[in-house]
Amino acid sequence: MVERALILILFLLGFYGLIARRNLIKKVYALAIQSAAIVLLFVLEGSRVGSIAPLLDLRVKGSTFVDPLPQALMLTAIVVGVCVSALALSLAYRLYLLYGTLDIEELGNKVDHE
Amino acid sequence: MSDADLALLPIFLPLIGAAFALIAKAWDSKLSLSLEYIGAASVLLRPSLSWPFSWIAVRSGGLSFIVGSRGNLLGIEQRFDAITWLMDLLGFTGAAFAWLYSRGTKTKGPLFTMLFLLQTAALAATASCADLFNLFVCLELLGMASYALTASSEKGAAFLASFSYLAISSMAMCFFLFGVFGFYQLTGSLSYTAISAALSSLGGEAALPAALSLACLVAATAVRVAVLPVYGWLPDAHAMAPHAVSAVLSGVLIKTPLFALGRLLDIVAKAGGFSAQLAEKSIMLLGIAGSLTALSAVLVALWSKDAGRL
Repeated sequence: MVERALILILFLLGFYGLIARRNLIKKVYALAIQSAAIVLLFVLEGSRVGSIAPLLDLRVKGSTFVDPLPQALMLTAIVVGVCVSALALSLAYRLYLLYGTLDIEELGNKVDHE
Repeated sequence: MSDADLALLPIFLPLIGAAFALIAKAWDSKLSLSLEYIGAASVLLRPSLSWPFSWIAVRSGGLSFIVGSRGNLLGIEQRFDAITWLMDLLGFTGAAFAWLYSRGTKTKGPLFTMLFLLQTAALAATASCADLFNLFVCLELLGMASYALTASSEKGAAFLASFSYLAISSMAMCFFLFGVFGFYQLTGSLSYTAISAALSSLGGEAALPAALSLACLVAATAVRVAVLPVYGWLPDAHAMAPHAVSAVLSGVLIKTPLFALGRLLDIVAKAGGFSAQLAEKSIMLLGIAGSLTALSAVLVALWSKDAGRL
């Protein structure tokens, strides 16, 4: 329960940062924090069904492995998150080169006046 | 070639074409142009090659198959039915004409062609998804190609519009993952048929978690489809994108997640009980939101002075 609450707080922090922060880099951070919270949620819930890493070992008897599927899915989600962050940072960099600022409201004003 | 192989062609051919276009960047202008055109031909020729054969499979009720040879437990379920056939036809036709149009503009070249074909492959993959996590991956791939293509006009406004599109869509996909998590917790599976079978055997206590999970999926799809009130990213992204990209974005791309969700809602509805009620309410809500979106879009268009935003 405590873990879920902490993950929820992490997610909401990321959500707040994405909505409220004006700096583009901070928005990218916030998105990464949101993604990380969801990855942690999946891995946490997968670990509840067992206690041993899902590596085949014939000496281990009974169903004591953690669920391997959420971990496998979250590897993909992490890769997707990294690609999104890379693209977002490259867009932020190009905007900074053009307008000299990372503040989204200033960028909006400069774009409107073009 | 089996029906399953034909059904996978819309996904693999554009990917192979994209690889050709990417390799084209490494060569001189004549060879580069040849490789780029060979890559694009995989998209342009696709309709005439296999639509008649794949329509035969659709007429006989559609085709469900597992990708890879790992069986139901580890493989990814795909479905090729009338929805897939229609989305592929629209997507490939739109992409072909849009790419041809782009030949006469400034936004062209191997990199543009590569991103365009990647977007087309992701569109085809999204249209044939029958697995929740596969749908997430395909939507993200579709999104990433779209963000890069939106920014490909190299204007400041396009970069800003692409960033907003990226941020809002990625946030929506986080909620999508919550929905995936909810269904996995309830049913222990991610494929549509297994979810439907599991939901039909669950009692009324699963209604609330199922409703919350479905709400997350529907809300995320609503953001991607840009219905009222979560359409804020769309006017800038479509207006600032190159014309060829804007045509594909507006004409096909924003509809694809809705069709993919429609397949899920149809299968969930067949589970009966509370699942059918949830699916009906979701469809009704999307219908109302879509109607309000169409009405407000017409009103905004009457006041618009920008042809791109129109």
